[in-house]
Amino acid sequence: MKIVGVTACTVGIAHTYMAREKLISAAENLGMEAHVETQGSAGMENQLTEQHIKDADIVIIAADVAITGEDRFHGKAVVKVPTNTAIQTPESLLRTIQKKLQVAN
Amino acid sequence: MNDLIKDNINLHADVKTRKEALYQMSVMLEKNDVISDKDAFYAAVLDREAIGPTGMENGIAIPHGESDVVKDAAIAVFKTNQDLKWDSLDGKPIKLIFMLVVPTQHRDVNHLKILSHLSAALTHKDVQQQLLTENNVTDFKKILEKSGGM
Repeated sequence: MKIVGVTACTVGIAHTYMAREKLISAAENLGMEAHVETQGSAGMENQLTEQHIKDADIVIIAADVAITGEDRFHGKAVVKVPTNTAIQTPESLLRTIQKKLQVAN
Repeated sequence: MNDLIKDNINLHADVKTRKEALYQMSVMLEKNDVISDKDAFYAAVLDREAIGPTGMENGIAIPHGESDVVKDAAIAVFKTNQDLKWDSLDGKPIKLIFMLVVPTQHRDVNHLKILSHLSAALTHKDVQQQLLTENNVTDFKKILEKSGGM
């Protein structure tokens, strides 16, 4: 499964970056490919490319606030969760999404 | 090395509650001239606490405050002598607190990046374990530096 993600939280200091780290570690553990963009106090980092988005099977938006550039994902399957879900149970989140995608296809 | 902790660290903090820890950390930050008003900063930290849990996993919490009484971005660290009741993701009590101190104005993007790298580094279990068992300030900072957290 190829994943692109965006993380953002209220103050933009801690949870945004923890959620990214957890999603990437979980994806690696499960043999998936993940590119995750952070929208925090330091601005937008690890920005997703058009190619990343085009290749992705799923878009995960782990955010507690509205994100910038959601229109980039038009036509893609998008899953939205709070940052805490990505931080606390990243592997089960990815596994659940994978199962749902398999059923859908 | 970008040491944003400097002297704002106490690995044997004698505090008994979450609020006492947050307040004593604010006192330390004012004493070390990182913030100009401990009460205003403490209020900003409590405002953030009210939004949702800052207790993460395995006894580590990351409270944070954003305020115009902050002179420059900093990190304050308390390791407490006893476990503290704290709303956390895994329901465990808190023993190690990283307080992220953020100015409202004159933000240095590089400093904000250090805070974000620390947050990311603290999600790794091996880093958590090393920090929880290290009681020497110099070695504690070395662990952070090595893990990309500073």
